[in-house]
Amino acid sequence: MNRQKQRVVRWACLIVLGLGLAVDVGLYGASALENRTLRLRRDQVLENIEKTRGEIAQLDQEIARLKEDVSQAELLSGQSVLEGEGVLITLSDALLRDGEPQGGFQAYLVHDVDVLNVINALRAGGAEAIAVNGARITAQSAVRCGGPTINVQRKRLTPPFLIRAIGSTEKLRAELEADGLVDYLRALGLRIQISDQASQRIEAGKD
Amino acid sequence: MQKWLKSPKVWGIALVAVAIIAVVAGFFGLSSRTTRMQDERQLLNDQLASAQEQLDELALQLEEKGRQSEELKVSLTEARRLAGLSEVTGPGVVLTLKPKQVGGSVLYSVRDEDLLLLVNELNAAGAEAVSINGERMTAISEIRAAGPYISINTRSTSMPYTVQAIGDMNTLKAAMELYGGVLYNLSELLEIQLETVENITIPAYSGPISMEYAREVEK
Repeated sequence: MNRQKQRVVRWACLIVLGLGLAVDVGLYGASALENRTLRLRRDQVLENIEKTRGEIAQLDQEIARLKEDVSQAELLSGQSVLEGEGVLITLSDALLRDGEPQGGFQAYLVHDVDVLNVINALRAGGAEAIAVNGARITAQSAVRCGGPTINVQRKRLTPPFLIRAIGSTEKLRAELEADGLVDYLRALGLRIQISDQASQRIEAGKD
Repeated sequence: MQKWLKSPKVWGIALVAVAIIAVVAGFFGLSSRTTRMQDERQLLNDQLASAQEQLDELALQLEEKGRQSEELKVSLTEARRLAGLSEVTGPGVVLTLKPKQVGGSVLYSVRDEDLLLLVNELNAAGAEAVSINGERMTAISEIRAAGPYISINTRSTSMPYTVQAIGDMNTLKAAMELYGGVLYNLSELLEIQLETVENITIPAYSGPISMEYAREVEK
């Protein structure tokens, strides 16, 4: 082997070695870079998951609070159907006695003001919801005589009037007896019965 | 130094051998590392895909809850308005009931029932909101005599009474002026002023709300 040949072999070896190294490092580098990018993307998505979880938890709290507020507001607006203990008051016209009614029929009838007074007493007794013959009493309710019937908003109600209130039976009864309301109604000849209800349902009723 | 070490031939062979070994070793090393990288990439891809799926799921939940919260806010506003839990402004009537003095004494004190009938009449005339001396009338508002005072929303108030009602001004005024109506009998006993006002502000109910006995059931 002459010197010339030896030099060619030597250079060839070096070039092969160098190329091999370059390819090696290049491929490895590209692969590593791709994995690094993937890892970053994965971590970012995981971070977003945590962030979204936090936002959901916050919204859950807000929703719970809103539901409570809506329940309270709908208690007063009359938009929710409610159930609970309370009293049932049955108010009926006076029984006609023999002969012509004294003072005309008017004296024998339950009047709007009687129902109003009962509702007012129930409110004073802490009633949480009130209905007259199924018609929910709200802030905007009017109770008015329409001849021998009573109109609560657009509903025409006939006696006996069933007045339901949800609340403490004790407090409700106490307020009905206060100021002699029940006695007064009885003195008018009207028939009034109060019964405790372990659970009664009061329907929703928007005006 | 040995003589063969100086031989260029030996160096040449050594160099070729090293090169072959390096390339072969490099190849094996590279392939094993590449396999490991590929395994890791596969794992990362799987993790990324499942994380993305989870995120998409959560994003949907978030959107749904956002919608639910918005709907509740709308319901709340509406319920609060009807319930009397928000301040309202609008046209209506303002009524003042002042005592009439006769020989240094008050001729007549307004009774709870007078106010009860008055509010009832305003409601019948389509009042959307009513207040007495700043107390908003709600579904649970009592008007109850308490000695010389009248208790409204558990707060004591007394004469003079200012009653505000929002609604159709003319209807409300006419309802108050009905011959034989609620004010008819009181007009001799009290100083009564009734005026229509374009812009009345009626405050929100600020008393207690108890939901101790009532529980909501499905509509």
